Amino acid sequence: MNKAAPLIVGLIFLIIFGLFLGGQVPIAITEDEVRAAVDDTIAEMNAQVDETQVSKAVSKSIERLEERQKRRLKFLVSAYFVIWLVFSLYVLRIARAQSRLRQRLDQLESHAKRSDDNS
Amino acid sequence: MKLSQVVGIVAMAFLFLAIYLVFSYAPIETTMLEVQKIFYFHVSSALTVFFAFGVTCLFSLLYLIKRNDKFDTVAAASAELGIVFCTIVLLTGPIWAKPAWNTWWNWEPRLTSTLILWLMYIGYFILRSALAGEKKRVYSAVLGILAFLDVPIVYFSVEIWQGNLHPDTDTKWNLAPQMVTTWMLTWLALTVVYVFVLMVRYEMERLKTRLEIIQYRQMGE
Repeated sequence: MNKAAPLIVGLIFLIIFGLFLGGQVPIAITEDEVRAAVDDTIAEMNAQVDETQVSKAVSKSIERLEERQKRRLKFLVSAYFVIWLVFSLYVLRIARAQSRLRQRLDQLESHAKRSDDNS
Repeated sequence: MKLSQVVGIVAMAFLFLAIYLVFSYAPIETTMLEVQKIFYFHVSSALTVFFAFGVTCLFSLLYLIKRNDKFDTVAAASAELGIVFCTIVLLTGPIWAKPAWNTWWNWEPRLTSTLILWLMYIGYFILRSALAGEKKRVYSAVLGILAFLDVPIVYFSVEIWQGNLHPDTDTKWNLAPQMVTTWMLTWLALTVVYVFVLMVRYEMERLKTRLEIIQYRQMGE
């Protein structure tokens, strides 16, 4: 069972990861797409606009939005990193305590064996 | 196949599913955007803390009534897990607070009472390490019950002291249905993880006690 457990966990992980990839994907709007959309809108409006100024404003807005998103994602990643760090450290602590117990058990068993042999 | 192994596999499955729901199913909240996704594990951890300390309180009470060492073992193992989840709450809270309130920490009622709760259970383990035998079990059982009194204070602190940073206890039901589903499943996942680790810790503590008895007997011989 001990060998099968990581396999089962791995399989579950692959299923969930597959669902994640096949499911909702974050929508990424590229700078070129925004530029094309703005050009189309200007053309539809049939209005006289300074295209260089509009282009500058669009670039600046995209930069700002990306900067804000980067900051938000930094906080999100930090939070989940902290969660897994705390869990990992705790699991490591348990694993160490368990191996110490096993060592003590082995020592006691060998001690008991020697006592039996002597008697 | 041991029961703890089955619970362990179920816990992992729920945990992976919860992560999938948080990042792929739950919609992005309109005010806090991506940062809101911290909420699912932060709040679920807080609820697991209440559950863990509730178990400690119940088993401490049972120990004081029945004087059975098994109850003390469960109480201590659950308190240890409560501290782990409370540490997660106290660390993810400031990461949420910085973009939301523009500060890492605020001496607001819920934050302060949660910190007090964490310190009280740290005290519980300091007490356990300072004493031995029956005295250790009785004193820590009393502290385990008394410290639990802070749990309702943490939960209702926003209403009691009218704190304006954390939302009211009813606000959570105003979430979008997908968000509620994700949150509930994350809560369930963390509860199953708690049960699994509690079982492992309990088995370890029983083994430790048995080893101590064998060692004591061998020393006597």
